Amino acid sequence: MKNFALIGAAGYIAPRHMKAIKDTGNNLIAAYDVNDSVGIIDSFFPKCAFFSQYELFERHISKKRAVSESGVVKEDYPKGKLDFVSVCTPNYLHDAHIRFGLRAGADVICEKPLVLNPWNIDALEFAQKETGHKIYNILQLRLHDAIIALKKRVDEGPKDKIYDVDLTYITSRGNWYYTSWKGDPRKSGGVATNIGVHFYDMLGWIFGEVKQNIVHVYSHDRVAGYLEFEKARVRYFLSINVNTLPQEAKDAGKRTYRSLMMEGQEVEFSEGFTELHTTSYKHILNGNGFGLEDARKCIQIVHDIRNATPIGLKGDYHPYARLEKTPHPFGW
Amino acid sequence: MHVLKRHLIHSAGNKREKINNLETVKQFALMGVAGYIAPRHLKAIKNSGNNLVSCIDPFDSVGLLDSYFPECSYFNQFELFDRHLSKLKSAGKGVDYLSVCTPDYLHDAHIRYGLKIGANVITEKPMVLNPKNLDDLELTEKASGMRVNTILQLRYHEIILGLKKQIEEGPKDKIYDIDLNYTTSRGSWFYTSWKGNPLQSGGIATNIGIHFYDMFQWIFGKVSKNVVHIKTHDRVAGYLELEKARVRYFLSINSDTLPPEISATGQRIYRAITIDGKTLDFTDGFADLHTESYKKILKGEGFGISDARPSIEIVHDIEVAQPIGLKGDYHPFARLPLASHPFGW
Repeated sequence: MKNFALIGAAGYIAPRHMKAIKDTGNNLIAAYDVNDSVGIIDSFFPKCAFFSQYELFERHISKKRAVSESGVVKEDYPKGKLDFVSVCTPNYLHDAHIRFGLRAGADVICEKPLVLNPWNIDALEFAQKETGHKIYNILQLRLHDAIIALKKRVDEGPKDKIYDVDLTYITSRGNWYYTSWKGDPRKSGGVATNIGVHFYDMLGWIFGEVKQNIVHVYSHDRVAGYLEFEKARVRYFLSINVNTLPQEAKDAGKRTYRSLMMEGQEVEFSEGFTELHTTSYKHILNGNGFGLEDARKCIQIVHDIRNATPIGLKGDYHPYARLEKTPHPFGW
Repeated sequence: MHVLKRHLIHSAGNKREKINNLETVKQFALMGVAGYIAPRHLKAIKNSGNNLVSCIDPFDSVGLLDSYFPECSYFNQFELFDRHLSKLKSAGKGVDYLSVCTPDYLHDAHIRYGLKIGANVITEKPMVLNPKNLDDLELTEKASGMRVNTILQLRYHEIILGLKKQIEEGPKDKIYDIDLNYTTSRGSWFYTSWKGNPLQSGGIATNIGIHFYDMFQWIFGKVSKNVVHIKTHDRVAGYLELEKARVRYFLSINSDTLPPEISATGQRIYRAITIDGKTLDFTDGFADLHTESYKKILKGEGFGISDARPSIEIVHDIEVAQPIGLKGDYHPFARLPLASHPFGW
C-alpha cells in the first residue's frame, strides 16, 4: 500500500484522484487546498490530515518524513514513507507543486497540462535527476479504448499514408469560467491549453511529429487551427461557447459536442472519458506511467498555439472557424 | 401589465400558462455557491421553476453552475457582485430573492445585504449564531419590507410531521422520555475548515444539532431546562426539559463514538431517537427537502425569524453553558472516553 498526499483537494478534479487512490488500494495521508470545502474527503479517506495553509501542510509532510526516516513508529502516523504526491491545482501552480513533491521525497502524479511551457519541462528534468524521483502526467485519452484502437489502425495502416482529420470539440462553459482562474490565460494557458491539451496529445501520439502548426482564429472562447503531423493533416475547432454548437446538438439540449472525422468517417469516442483516472493510476503504479518526455509534445503544441499570431480565414481552415465571434462577457 | 394579462388570459389556454410563468418566475442571487450545501439550493431554485442570475463565492471551483444555470453571472469578489446586483436593480430588474449558504458567522451580514438591496432572503441554518442578532434583524426586516426565511427542512420530513400529529393528538399532560443519539463522523479536515472554528460555526450543538433542537421544541414545546453534561470539540451531551418531553441527547462527529455494531458495518453515520423506549426510524427522506422548503417560501409560507428563534436560543445556551460533568440524568454515551483535539501545534 502506497502513501499519498494530494494538493488541490477542494477542486473539481480532486474526487477522481481520491477515487483512483482508493480504488487502487492505497492511502491518502494528507491533503491541502486554500479552500476548505473538502467534506468529500470523508467519503474516501476520513483519517486524512487536511491543511488550508501551505506552510502547515509542508510542516506535516516534513515531520512525517523525519519520523519515517528515524524508524520510530508513532501510533497516529501512517506507516511507511510518503510515496506519491498528487497535484490537481490550477495549471500555473503545477510546476511549483511538482517540485514540492519531488523535494518531499515522493514521486509526483500531476493533472494535465503538466506545465504551461516547454522550458518548464527541461527544468523539471533537472529536478527529477537531482531528487531521484519521478514525475507522471495524467494523459488519460491514451488509455481510452477507442483511441487505442485508432492508434492501432494507423500504426498498422500504410506507412506513407497521410490522413485528413477534422476535430471538433465544444464543451460549453457559463460565465463563471471567466471569473475563475480557468478564464485567466496566465493561469490556465487559455482554451487550447486548458480544454484542448488532451486532444493535441492524442493527435501527436497517434500521428507522429508536428510539421506545421497554424492558428486561424484564437479568442477567449475558441481556437481554430491547422496542425500537420507526419501522418495527418488536422483541422480543428475547440470552443467553450454554447453558441458554436451545431444545431442538432442545440436542439437535443446538449452542451457538449465531440467529433473526430478521419477521411470523411466519424470515429466514435463519445463515452468513457470520466473513468480513466483509476486506469491511469494503475498504469503508474505498475511502473508504466507517462513521464516528462511523454508530455513534451503536447506542451510544445499548446505553447506554440498560445503564442501564435492568428492568420484569420486563410488556407485550409476548419469550417467552424467562420462562426461569428462573441465578445468577452466582461466589460468593466 | 393588467391589460396585457387580461388580453392573454382571454386568448388560448397555453398562452395563459405562459403569462402565469412570466409572472411567477423569480430571479435569484446566491452567496456561497462553491460550498457543500449550494447544490441543493441550485436544485431547489431550478426545480421550483425559477432562475439564478448572479452568484458569488471567493473560491472559484463552481463548474457545477453549468448543470443548473449556465447563463448565471459568477463573481469571486464581493464588490463586483454588489455592483452587478445594484446595476440590475437600477435597471428595474433587481433580484427577488437572495439565497445565503455561506459560513454561519457570515449569515447575518449576508442577510442584511439581501434586505438592503430589496430582496427577500433565504438563509441556511443556523440563521445566525446569537439570539441578540435576531432582535436587530427583526428591526431591519421590518424597515426593509422584505422577508427573511430560513431552511428548517426537518419540519417537512414526513416522519417528523407524523410524530408531531401523534403528539398533538395524544394526552395533553403526557411527558415523553426521549433519547437522541446522533453521530455523523467527520475527518480531521473539519478542524481545519471554518466548521471547526467555534467563532465561525458555533460548536457541535449548533453545527450538527440545530435541526434536532428545532424539531424537539417544535413538537414538544418550550424549553424549561437546558443542562449540558459534556461539551468538547467533537461532541456534546446534555439534557433538555420541554413542556412535553425530557430529552437526553448525545451528538458527536467522532467516529469512535459510533456504537460498535454500527462501526463494524463500515457506516459512519448513526441516528437513533427513542421515545418512551420505542425507536423512531427516520433514516430516509432527507434528500429533497430543500426543494420543498423553497416551494413553501415562494408561496409565502416559509419559516421566518420568529420560527428560527427557539432553536437558536437553545444552541446559544448550550454553547455558552459550563458543562456539569456526569451528574444527574445524562445520556449513557456521555460516559465514553474523551478524545483530544487532532491539532496540537
